[in-house]
Amino acid sequence: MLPRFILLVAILAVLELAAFDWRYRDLVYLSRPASVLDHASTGDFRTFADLALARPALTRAKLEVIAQTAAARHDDMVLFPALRRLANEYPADAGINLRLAEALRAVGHIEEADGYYRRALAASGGKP
Amino acid sequence: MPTYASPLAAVETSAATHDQPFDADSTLRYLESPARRRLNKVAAVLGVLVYAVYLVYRTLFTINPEALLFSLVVYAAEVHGFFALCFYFFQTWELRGRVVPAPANDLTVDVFVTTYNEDVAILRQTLRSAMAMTYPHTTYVLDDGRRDEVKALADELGCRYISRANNEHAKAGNWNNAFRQTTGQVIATFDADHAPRADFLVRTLGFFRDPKVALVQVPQRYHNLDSPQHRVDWKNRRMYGEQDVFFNLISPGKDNWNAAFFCGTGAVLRREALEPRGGLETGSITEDMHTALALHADGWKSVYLDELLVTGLAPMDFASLQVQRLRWAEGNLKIIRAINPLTEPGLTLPQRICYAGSMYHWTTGVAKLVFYFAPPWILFTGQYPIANFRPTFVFIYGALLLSLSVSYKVLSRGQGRLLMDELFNMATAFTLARAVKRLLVGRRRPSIFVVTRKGTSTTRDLTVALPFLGLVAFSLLGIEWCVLMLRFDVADDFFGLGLAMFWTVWNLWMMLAVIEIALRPPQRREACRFVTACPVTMQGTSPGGAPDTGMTANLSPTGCELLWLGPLPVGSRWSLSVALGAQTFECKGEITTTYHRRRGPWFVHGVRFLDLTNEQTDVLNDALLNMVVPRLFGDLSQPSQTVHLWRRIVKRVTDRYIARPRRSFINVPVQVTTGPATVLALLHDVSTNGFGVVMPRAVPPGTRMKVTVLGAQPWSVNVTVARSQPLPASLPAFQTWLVGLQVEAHVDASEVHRRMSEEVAA
Repeated sequence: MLPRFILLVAILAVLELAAFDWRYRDLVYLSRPASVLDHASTGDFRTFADLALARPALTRAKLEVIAQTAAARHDDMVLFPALRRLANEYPADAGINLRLAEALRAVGHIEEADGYYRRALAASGGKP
Repeated sequence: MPTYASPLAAVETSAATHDQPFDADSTLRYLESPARRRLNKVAAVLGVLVYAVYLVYRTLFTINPEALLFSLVVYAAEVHGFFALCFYFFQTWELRGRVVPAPANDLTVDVFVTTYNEDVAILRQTLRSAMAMTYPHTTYVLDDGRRDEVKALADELGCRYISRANNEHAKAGNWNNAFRQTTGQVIATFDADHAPRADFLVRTLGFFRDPKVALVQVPQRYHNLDSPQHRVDWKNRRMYGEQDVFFNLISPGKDNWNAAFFCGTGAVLRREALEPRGGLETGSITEDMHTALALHADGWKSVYLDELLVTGLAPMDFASLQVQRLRWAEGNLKIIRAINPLTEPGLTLPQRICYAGSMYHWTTGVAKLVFYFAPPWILFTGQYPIANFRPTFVFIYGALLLSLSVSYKVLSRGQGRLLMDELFNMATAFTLARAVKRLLVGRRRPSIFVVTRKGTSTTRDLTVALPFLGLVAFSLLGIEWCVLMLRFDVADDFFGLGLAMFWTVWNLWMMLAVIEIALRPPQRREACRFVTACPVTMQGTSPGGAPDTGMTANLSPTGCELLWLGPLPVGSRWSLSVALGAQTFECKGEITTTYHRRRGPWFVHGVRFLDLTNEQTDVLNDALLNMVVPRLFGDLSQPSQTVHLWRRIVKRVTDRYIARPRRSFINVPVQVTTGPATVLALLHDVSTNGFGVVMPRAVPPGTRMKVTVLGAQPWSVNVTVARSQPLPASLPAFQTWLVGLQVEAHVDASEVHRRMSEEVAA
């Protein structure tokens, strides 16, 4: 009985792996090393990043990965949604606000960038 | 407090004479000092208070609206635990023992032994033990199996046989059928596998001098210590019995409130109390508690006498245990349909609480299952039953756990073993939950009384392990899912999920222990085996033809494990003489197995007794039940680990100032010579200034003797008797004494100690 049970649990564990991969394939994809993601096809990266960003709950680490990879790939279509979500979820984080402000300024959104500079200043207690 | 010996066994005097009016309540005695009793109460109140504060905190701050249903289910399970704790503390609030009054001379006593399909060999010993009880009585065997061999057994033994045409109302119906045909003023009742001691009636009948006493119940002890519900640590001489808490704590605690109830066997009942209802209640499949509840509601008293007066057989496999517990749980829960202890007129408030507590206990399975399924559910979903699942909560929860552990330990008087209790809670959780389901939504067929299988089991019912295997699989998959979630940043709450994982692993560990019990190989032995050391002599094993001596490692009515100095060929047959106290049991035996121990000169042999007559089997059974069992229960009455640890610390400290010899327990056969007389005895323990031997007779202190150790090279030492104390035995024929011996002044005691330690056989 025990060997059959162990076999059954092993099969279930493999099926669970498959189910996890199906359920979270975007997050699994985004867990690849940075060097791999940096050279992945733009279509794949955008698809999985968009899927991930559409999730109601996303960990900070995963948002950071998306934002950093998008920045490295100069993919503003992904970078801004990722940074905006980070800034919304962690408004007290000066660094995030500053990064978003810098990114916005770089593409000429000065007015919006100014707002995030102010939020970064407020988050850092007024110390530049 | 010893576990298996009555604390008041030695105080059995009664001021009243037989004819004087007598109140059984006057026999109640507190078992603890006033300071200890205060400590118990403080611990109970504090434990309940801390739990109450925790629940208030949970209610106000931690119900999780994001997982409301899950949160409320876990909360309800915790509230269930709170009431269970309150019931437990109420029932163990005070433990009182009983001083045993002498019985009146003129009681007419019937003894009922109920049977349906039990092994006739088991029934034989029960009937013989019942008939051997010392107060005048008539023994009846109530055979619902209508078996010719039982009738023949009754005729052979001289007890009366009662049967009936049908099995209506199962055991209760069988009992009531005999009740209508008999006239004894009191009725002692035993299951077919529960053999009473000879003094059972003498110890219990005295309470019936109080005309309001309807019931005297004694604890149920089980002598098959290899059953699933026992755990024996032979090295430290400690035993855990799953029902110990009930019989050692809860029942004496109930007795304090006049709420001790009938447990179906090992009890004496007053006919006058039962006559209005025609015997036992038949409205449920647990007629015992139902009847006791009705008797208490009618104003009768009950008595619980915490003495080892009857031992029986526990279910030998996990499936039988589950069947038994399902019947108990279903029956006890369904009693509420016939009598509600909370509303039934005639009961006192403490009795209502005690009975409600007893019924409530059987609902524990549902709450426990919530606690077993909740952690893997958290791992799968990432949802918590607790809002604000942060270190503050963990700190408060830790304080609750600590408070519960301490108060439980204190109220359990050193006997409660949290881990083992939890293990068996888990082992029965699915079954108890099933009983609750049957109470709430019913079952397709009417409830039936299923007789618990005892003795040999040839098949293994693995289906009973399936729920636990399912839970293990669910937990393992939950852990895997959680690891994946953390690995791929699906979740990042390492603290919360880490705790849930710890909780899951903890439960998994216990589940595996339960599965180990459930998957044990079936018990194929023909008879129960008892660990006991008895000297054995055999003729012709050495070239000179002189009798040689060995000893048993265990003994059963069909064979023994023999320790012998040298190998004996498998298949060889010998004439054995086994010293059973003052009696010598002689028979032929065949060696079935042999192997050599890693250390020492002793070989271990399996021996099957050959061609035993009924009389020989009876002698063996008498010795086992009246000499071995009382000694076993006496030997295994060791305190809980906490108490044990505390005593070791105290001993360490005191040993710095008081030099005490260290004693170790060693069994080797010895020959004791006092003048011209020589007897075979057994070395029991050895210390650096003497040793103890178990002898078949008492020896006055100061007697000088020569002890010959029958090891590989026999050698002798002269000793003086320091003390002699009787070992527990319930028949004089099997009485033995532990004789403490001091080596003579000119002998090097430490050298004797060293040599004896080298001879160790068991």
